[in-house]
Amino acid sequence: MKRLMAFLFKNSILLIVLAVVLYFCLRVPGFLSITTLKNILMNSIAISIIALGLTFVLSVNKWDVSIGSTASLSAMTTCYLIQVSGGSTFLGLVGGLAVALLCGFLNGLLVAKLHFEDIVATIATQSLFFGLAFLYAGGYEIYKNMRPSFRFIFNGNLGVVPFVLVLTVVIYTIADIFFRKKKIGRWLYSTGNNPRAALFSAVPVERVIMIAYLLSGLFAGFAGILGASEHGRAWILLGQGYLLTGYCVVFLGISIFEKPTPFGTLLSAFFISTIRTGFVMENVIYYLSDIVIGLLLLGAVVVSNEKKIVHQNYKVGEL
Amino acid sequence: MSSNGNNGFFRRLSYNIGLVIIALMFVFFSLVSDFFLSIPNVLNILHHGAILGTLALGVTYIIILGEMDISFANLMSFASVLVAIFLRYGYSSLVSIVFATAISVLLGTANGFFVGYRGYSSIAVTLATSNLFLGLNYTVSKGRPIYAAMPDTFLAIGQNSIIGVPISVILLIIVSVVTYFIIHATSYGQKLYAVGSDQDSARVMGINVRLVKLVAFITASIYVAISAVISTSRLGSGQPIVGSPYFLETLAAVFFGKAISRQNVSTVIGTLTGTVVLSILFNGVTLLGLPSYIYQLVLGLVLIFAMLATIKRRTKMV
Amino acid sequence: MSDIVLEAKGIYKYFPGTEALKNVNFELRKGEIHALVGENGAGKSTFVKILTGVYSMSLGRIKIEGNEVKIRNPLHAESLGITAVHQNIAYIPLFDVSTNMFMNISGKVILDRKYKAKLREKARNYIDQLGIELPLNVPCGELTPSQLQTMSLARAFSKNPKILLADEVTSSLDRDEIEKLFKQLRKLREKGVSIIYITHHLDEVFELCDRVTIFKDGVCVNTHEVSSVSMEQVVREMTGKILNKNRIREPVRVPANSRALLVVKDLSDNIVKHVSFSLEKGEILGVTGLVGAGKTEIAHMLFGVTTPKSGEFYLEGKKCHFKSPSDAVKNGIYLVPEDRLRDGIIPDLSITWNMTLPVLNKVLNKFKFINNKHEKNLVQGVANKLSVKYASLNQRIKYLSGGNQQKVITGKAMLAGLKVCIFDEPTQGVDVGARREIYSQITKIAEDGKAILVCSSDIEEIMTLCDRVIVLRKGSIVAEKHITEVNKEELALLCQGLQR
Repeated sequence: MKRLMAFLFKNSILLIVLAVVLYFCLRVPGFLSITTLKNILMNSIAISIIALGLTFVLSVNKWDVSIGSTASLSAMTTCYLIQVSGGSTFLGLVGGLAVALLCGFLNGLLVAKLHFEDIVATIATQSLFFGLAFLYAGGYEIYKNMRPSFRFIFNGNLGVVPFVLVLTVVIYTIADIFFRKKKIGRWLYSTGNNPRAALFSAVPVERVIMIAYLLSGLFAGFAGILGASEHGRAWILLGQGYLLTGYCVVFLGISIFEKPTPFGTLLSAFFISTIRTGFVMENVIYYLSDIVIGLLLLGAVVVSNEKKIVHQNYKVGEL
Repeated sequence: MSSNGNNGFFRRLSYNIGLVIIALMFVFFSLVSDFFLSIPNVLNILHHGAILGTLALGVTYIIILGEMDISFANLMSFASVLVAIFLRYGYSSLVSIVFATAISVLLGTANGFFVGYRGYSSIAVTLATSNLFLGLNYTVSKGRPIYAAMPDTFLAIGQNSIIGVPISVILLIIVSVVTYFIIHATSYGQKLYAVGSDQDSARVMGINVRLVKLVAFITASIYVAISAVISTSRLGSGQPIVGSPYFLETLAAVFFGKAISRQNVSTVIGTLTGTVVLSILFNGVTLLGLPSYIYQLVLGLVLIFAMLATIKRRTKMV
Repeated sequence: MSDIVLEAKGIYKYFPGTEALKNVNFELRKGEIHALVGENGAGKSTFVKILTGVYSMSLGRIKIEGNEVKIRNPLHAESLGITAVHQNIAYIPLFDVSTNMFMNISGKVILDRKYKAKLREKARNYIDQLGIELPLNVPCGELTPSQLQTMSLARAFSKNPKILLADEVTSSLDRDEIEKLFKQLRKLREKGVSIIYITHHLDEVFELCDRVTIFKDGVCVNTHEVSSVSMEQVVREMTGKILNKNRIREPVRVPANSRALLVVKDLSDNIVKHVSFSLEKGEILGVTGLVGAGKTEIAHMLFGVTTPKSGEFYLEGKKCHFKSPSDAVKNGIYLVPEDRLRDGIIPDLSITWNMTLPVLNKVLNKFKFINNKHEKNLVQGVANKLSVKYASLNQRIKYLSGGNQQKVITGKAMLAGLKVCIFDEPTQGVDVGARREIYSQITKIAEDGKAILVCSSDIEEIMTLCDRVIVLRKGSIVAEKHITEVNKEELALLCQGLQR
């Protein structure tokens, strides 16, 4: 009986998510269909990209709350460059991603090299990036000169399958391989667990943290660009919901797999997107989903922590 | 690897720097704008400062502990809305305030429970609760301002003055004195610093760390409620987004105070100094006609400065 | 009997699956300093935790000054007159000494303006009685370990204890500071405090204590008057083995004209001042001195943890510019750090991952991916060589015992294909039995053709293990001798800056 309770608790969040999904399948007409699946998948793209960046940062046990602003800033940059260059998608992409990398670099500089506290530093850069995003159009949208090539990124298909879906899967596969089979994966986890001992074990700790923030910025920016591609324009609040949902997704993954992993993040992104889509289909008021995501994050935090604590009590060896 | 960083200059910073900065800002803005030193403008600064100061003092408890709270701004919005709703239903000022505070405290207890008793990362918890509060806010307000016929006694809090001093400021003064007393003269205050300095040692030395953290979050929620009351009273209505702009500002005020303190800790005087600096800054930026996002940019820079000033602590990867 | 201040009879302590203490009988006379010795896991700490109220005993009776007591918790133990000082001192770095001694936990309000001054007076009172000096207006975060230990003693003293438990209190202290500490303990004895002294260092037992009780496998083997027992006998009763104080191997003498593997020239940083020495293949060079003399600082500079302010060092003739430990490891220099938990292991990673972390290049296949099978074999080989006790190579390293963790850390060195291996306090906190094992491992590595640097404040260890020794004092080298040219006493004097 006790083992059953333990099992239930350990996987409680997962079970809750599955229960909600089941509820949607049963109660919402038309939920179980290819169209819905496609909706869910497309809805999960942006959030899974941004959550991948967060996965790197959380694996070194740091926080990055500037991802929403980075997304907005990159999106605005991309669209602005497209606009002023008369429609060059290429320039827009290069510029947007470059800005994203710069954002990540600033964060990495503050946290990894200057050893500032991650939370405070990224709160500061968050407002910095947000303020900078205003500079492009004073808060207005940028939408001129969008060429089909830009819109293709998100909306185009490769045969039957959406291009961006393939792209996401490819990116995740690469990330997964790097985490599991390359040095960087070990370096990330050891830096997150005991940075000083990692240093003494020849891990280039500062570089690792810098890489984590660079990737976080890069993926956040890319997610923002995807959002702009989807809607054909960029606006200041584009990145707004990313922070909470992103962390919810990564923590959900942690609560299932006991550490941040790309696969866990991807799976969780899928689940969260399912819930969100289900809510929309059920015509539930939008802020309710905020509450649900908030509760889910809380629950995921609870479960991840409780699992860790449960393990810590198990001791082998001397007193 | 880095060698030992620059210690000397920043170590000698003390509260005097805060006074110098305030004086400089006064001079700068009064030169730049004729309106700066006028009575209505000074009143604006004072009102803004009262709300900001109350919030900042509440958050100070949590920063001393070494924890973080990113939910206080959304809690403040929710509390503002709640007060207005209760008033709309015809409850008296006192009852409305009490009810709204009680609900704030309840929500603050949730934060305190998860961070204090379960030991979860404070940022993870408050990130989640921040959105919960937002959701609750929208559930009751539907995103629209709450208007109510508010009794004069209630409106007086945010709008009237006694012998020229706004009541909100008097409230801030009272709150400051009480906070100073709690943090610097009681054993609880000492425990706050102890836990913030070395949590494990504090526990071994007999401090109930969990309780200290729980109480800190509960106390902070009371301050949040107070600032919500002042805000609602001043505006005459419950605005669902009233708290958001205060988020960054409050953190900047507290960290500014921490940066200029001698021992790199948060103190009441430090927080109040930061409040004054930022209130003047906010007012000045508005007077200069700069768009509000410039202020956001500046706040980000202020936070970065505050961190730079604490760099003495972070010379090596430890 | 009126001069027995503490009597424990028939103490049993059960944990799920083990019997930690079996029928332990112990008595403490008033005014004595009574040593408790035993190997790791022998039961000393369990017994101590029962006395201090951290654990409750499963069976047995405890009497204090003739009255039977049931110790409920640490606070209760304190009220009964039992106080403890430990190796790891609990203190608040932000607060000064007097606040750390008399923290205002239960009291409510301090309206008294003179409060701080009164507190300092109170603190000074106890500190003076112990005959020591402590700066009273400095945050404790800036004090040295020795000063912190002193504060800890003063704090214990201020609680007016009948019984003081000193648990491994000399671990981070050097010879100098240990002397001071012993003086303080004797002063406490004068004031009527009876002391239980727990230690791994048997020489301290013979220097300080009146009687010694030996624990082995959860049982109290014997109690002796220190004056009528020999160290050999104590070790025999502790370990069941004969104490072997001999060197592992004869001291090696490297011919003077061979090219040295490691040459250090004029190395300096904040503490170290113009240190120069050389190290040959196959030799074990000891670096000794008091705490703070600069041993660890030299090790950190050679390993790339810190950069020297001036001076340089050469490995195989090539000048070294290490910006981080990964540079050092790439060049074949490895450090086994002093603080195992803080610097040595990644607790939540598996044994395998921990061991291969510095040398991941060795387990990569030709596409630069990690070859798990190859990794497992490598790790298994080393783990067996060092006889590490584990349940599975995939278990988290934090579940291993301290000694086994130390072995894994040493194993990292063995995998590293190194040329120079630096050990910083290799047997700190390790009991007599396991120490010898570590010495033979180190010697084996030297015999493999590596150069070894051992930083240690334990002179016995230097004498047993090293071929040559460098003595540091306040950052400078004051002596460099072959081990056959010097004895224990001379080394100790040299560390103090004195000479025969």
